[in-house]
Amino acid sequence: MLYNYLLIAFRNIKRNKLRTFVHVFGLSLGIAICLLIFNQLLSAYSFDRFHPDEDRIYRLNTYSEWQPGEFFQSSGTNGPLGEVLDEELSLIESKARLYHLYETMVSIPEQNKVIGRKRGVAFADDGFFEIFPRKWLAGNPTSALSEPNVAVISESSLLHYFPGLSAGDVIGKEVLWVDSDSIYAQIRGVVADFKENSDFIFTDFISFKTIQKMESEDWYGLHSWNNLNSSSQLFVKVNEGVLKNELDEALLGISKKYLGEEGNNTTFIGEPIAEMHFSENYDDSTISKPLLRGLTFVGLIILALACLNFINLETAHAISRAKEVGIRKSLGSDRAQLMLQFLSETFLIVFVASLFSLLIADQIHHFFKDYFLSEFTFSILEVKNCVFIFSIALLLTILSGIYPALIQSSYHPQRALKGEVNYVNGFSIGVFLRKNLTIFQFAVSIAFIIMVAVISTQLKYISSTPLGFEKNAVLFTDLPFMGDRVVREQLSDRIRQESFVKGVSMSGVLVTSNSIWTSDAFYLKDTIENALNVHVMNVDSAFVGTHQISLLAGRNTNNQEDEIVVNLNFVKTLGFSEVEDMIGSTLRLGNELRTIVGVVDNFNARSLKEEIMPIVLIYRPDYFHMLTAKVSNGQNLAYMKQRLEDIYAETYPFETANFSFLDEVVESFYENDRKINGVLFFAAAIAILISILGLFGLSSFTIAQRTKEMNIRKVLGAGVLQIVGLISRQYVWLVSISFVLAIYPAYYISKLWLEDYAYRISMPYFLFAVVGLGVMIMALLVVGFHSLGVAQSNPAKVLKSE
Amino acid sequence: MITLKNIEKSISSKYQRSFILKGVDMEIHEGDFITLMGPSGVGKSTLLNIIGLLDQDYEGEYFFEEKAVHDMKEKNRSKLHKSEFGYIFQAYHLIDELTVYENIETPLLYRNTNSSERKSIIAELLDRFNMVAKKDLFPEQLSGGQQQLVGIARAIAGRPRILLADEPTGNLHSVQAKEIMEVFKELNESGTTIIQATHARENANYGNRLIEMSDGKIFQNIQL
Repeated sequence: MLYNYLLIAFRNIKRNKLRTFVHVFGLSLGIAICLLIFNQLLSAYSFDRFHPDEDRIYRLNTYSEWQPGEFFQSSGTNGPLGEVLDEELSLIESKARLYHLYETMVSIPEQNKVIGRKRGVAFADDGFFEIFPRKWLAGNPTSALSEPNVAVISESSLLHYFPGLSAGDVIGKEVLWVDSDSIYAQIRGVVADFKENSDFIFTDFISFKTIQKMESEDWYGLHSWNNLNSSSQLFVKVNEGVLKNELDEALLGISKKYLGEEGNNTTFIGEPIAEMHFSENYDDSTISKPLLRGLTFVGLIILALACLNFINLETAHAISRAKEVGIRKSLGSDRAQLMLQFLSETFLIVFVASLFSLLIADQIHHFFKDYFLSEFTFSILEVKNCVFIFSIALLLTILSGIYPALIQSSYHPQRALKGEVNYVNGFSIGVFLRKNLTIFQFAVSIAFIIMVAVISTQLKYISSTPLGFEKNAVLFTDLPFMGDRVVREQLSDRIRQESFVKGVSMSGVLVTSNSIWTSDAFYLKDTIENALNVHVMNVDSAFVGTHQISLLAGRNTNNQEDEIVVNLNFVKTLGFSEVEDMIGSTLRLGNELRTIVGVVDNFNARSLKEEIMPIVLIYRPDYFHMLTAKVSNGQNLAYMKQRLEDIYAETYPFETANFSFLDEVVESFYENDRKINGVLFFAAAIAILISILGLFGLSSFTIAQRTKEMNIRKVLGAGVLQIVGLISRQYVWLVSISFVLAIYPAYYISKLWLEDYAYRISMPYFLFAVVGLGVMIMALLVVGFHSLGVAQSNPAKVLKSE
Repeated sequence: MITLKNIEKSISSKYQRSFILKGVDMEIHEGDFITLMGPSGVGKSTLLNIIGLLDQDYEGEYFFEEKAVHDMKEKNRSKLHKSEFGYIFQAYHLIDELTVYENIETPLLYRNTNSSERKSIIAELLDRFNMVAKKDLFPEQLSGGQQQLVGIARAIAGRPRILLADEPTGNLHSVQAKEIMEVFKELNESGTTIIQATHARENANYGNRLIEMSDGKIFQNIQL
């Protein structure tokens, strides 16, 4: 029986090529998108799920209300919490302390070998390996990190540091890690790297006790309950059966007891380990859940569009199957058998589409790699993909097949045989549904396109907005933190001597960045202090010139610690109208008094999503760790970059020389938005493609049905234009209604997105109209293509055969 | 075998109710070959559809071997329909996407006949109608007469006791029509009850009863 169903399905598919093409193409696009999003979701949710009892592991977070209604959550906790946790919390099985270092210089003293800067170095205790067990290639898992100045390295580090040696050989060997201080530690163990997806990128673990012994707790910020450092992290594994709220309850007690006054608005909470990949991890590869949700939503919408296409076209086509239904019913088929037949036909189409979708997904993944939120491999033959494809094929068969099957199997046999099914009196659900589905499809497509248009316009606006400083042909590099000041000066002098370099500035911060240091400043006026919140930037006197920021009044600092320069918004915030009035006045920052010697024009020290705050440029050379060089325009940038890196490498032989371009930093602020735009663009393209495809199929069918009517009209004297106009009229209505429905959601979402930006375009209503008109023209072209065919047919022929 | 009592069917439009069938009483015995005659629109097809259980929308009583069909549940009616009736249409109504072989096979599939039995039944039918060579052709590749032969083969494949034929020769020229009627006669002689609706008086000569209809009523019931 099933064979017979599939056979006739297959012949139908072959016979009606346009229908098959529309279905398979639309559905396979939809499924492909969903498959990729499914992979993306799976990869995002797969991080750190493999640890034994991962549902009982939490990272403790600090949660505080720093201003009424404004909350701050950090994945770090104060150092002392790690000390008292065992005594205070009875519901935990074990705890682990971790302090991750950013980039650490690694060398092997014994061989006099410098490995270079390395990420993935952390202080950890034995508890860390207890909670996150690994395979030990050498060493004692329970006590490898129980002393100061010992370390455990991973297999990958072993291969990197000691090529050719086995795990057992390196036990007892010494490695030097240089952070702020030199840390010599003996290797006590070698562990295997995690093979599964994990956010724990660490490869070198120095015993936590080393910090205490070094008496550098102060430097690492671990000594006091008042100091919070996000690098200092604490993991706990709770006893079996303990829930998150019980843990949070217990932690609340601790914060009340130890934090004193601050305990009223600061507490600790447990963050399930599976959440780490969505909040804060160690290599900035977190994925935002709202974005993931948005992506899923987009995927489902596209799939829904493809399904709607199917339903739409199938119900329209149902009439042509009516005769077959009549015959089958008269031969003894009951309704269930007919439904099964239509559903198996749907399944065949969906299944073929699914197979195609694998290929499409592979291609999309290949060509649009950059748009995915995280790296994930995609392989057609993975079991999970096959399972997904098969389940979605079944699901889609039900979703999109049921309604057409219900309609078609409901025909009255004797009326169906006479071809009477298409005469509907008054209201018909089928026609009503068909029109509405098409309207919905077009509304979604139009909304997507409008959003893309708005976002693109904003992004264009951003890249053309003057930032108040020169971003082109500016190179910068990190300097070793807390490095030698003399060496630093040497480097900057050498770079300044290069002929292509126009200016060199050293600073503690880049001219524009995501980081911000804010402080309360007090402006002294007639012995009254006016407080204002300022954005402090630690720069030298060459900063203003190097970045070509215009000086409005006064002069640059002369690299004096008591001289400062402020920006225009600083002046405005204080209510001065003349910038000159500012010069010479005094500002108190902390306990120090400083004199304002100059006023510069506003510049965007942060992304355009933020307002420009009152800015104070101070001079504290000890904390400089950034060197910026403005080079001359129009020369070979690659060459200049190489030259600068050579000079850097000569000055700091053990560091990795790496200059970056400032304009790339500026670009990177909007990287996420560009990705969103890319994804939306893609979604919009597919949505409109599917909708147009659906319209193409639908109109070809409905127009074919009206061939006789049109030819009678022709005989009665209608011209080609009149006929095309007659057919097109209803589609003009259709698209117009879709447009009206699309406007508000598109407006609302675009507005929400634009509100992220402090500097934004006003809503481009003009674009709305352009998009609506564009879609209308596209739809009319498709319909016109078909209607022209009908209009040009020969009435004598058509009417004769009728 | 079949008893119809006071069968009525009407269509109501906004202002009036017009009858297609009105007060039809009829008795059909096993082995009958009945011809329904009358002009177009007289209700022949409607009556056939009611007898053949394709139309449930009527008033009156319908007994099939003492079973009250008009009160029957959908499931039982469908069972009765499958086991007892075969249809032949004026426009043949073969399924265009299926071959001759598959068309004949379809009713057997709905009757859950097993595969080997299916094969032997179809082989026998193909042989009987001299169509073995054409079994893999599609309907559009056949002449009208041949298509109607396939239609008959399909109708009798499920071994129904009653064959209903609505203008079986209406689309055929006289030679082909004669051929088809001979087949009917043979079938009737081997025990199948046949009811046909037709315009052609000469077709009635193959049967044993002629029922003339007029305005939705039985006008004359003639034993031949």
